[in-house]
Amino acid sequence: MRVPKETAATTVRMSVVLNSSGRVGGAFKPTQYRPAKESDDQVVTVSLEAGPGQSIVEVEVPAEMADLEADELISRLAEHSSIRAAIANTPTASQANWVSSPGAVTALPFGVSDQERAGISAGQGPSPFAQSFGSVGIGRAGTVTASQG
Amino acid sequence: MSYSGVGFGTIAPGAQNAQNWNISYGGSDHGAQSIHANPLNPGATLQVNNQRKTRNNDGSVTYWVTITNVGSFSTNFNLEGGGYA
Repeated sequence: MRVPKETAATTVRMSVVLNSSGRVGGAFKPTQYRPAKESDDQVVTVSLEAGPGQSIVEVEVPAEMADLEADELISRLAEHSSIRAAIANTPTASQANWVSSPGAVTALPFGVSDQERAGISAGQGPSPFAQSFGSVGIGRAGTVTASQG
Repeated sequence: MSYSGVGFGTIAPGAQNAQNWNISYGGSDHGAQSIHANPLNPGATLQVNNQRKTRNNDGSVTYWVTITNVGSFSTNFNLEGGGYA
């Protein structure tokens, strides 16, 4: 079904991986699941969990960023204020020499429980971020769902 | 069952950027399942290892894999895989 232009999504939620050096090491956004066989109707859900020394930041980014090449995407994510704020507020990332900017993201140490992860949120108080790129949360896991197509 | 084109990821090269993924089929047990990373950029190579399966306390089942970019540049990727049956 064609989505009218005026109602098309302008942002997408993306999980950004910060490595042990406090740098952007990757990102992920959900897309629709395409079953290999028509008879397969099971919904597949995928989640990304931080490895040793890593953190995951969930952000809202302009939809067009999802079409960038990998190197450019990582570069642009690293430059954005919300990611920098997350890095500044992340214990493991504080070792890196990043310019800090005020942020409302909540940084959690590793070892948080699933329940704590589920409650992770950001944007407490006035958001310093542009509306087109808002920080959603930071923690050890970035749960994303690939819904059935 | 098998699947392809699940998700859209980006990963930088190096072990420090290895990503831990888990996949669930609604929590149901689908026996032996394999998860692979499908690189989308020419020249890119992604390695998967640490394939594992967890039976959670509530009886649900989760499958896990670690993805590492063993190339020299960042690449986009998605997930593909499925069972052996």
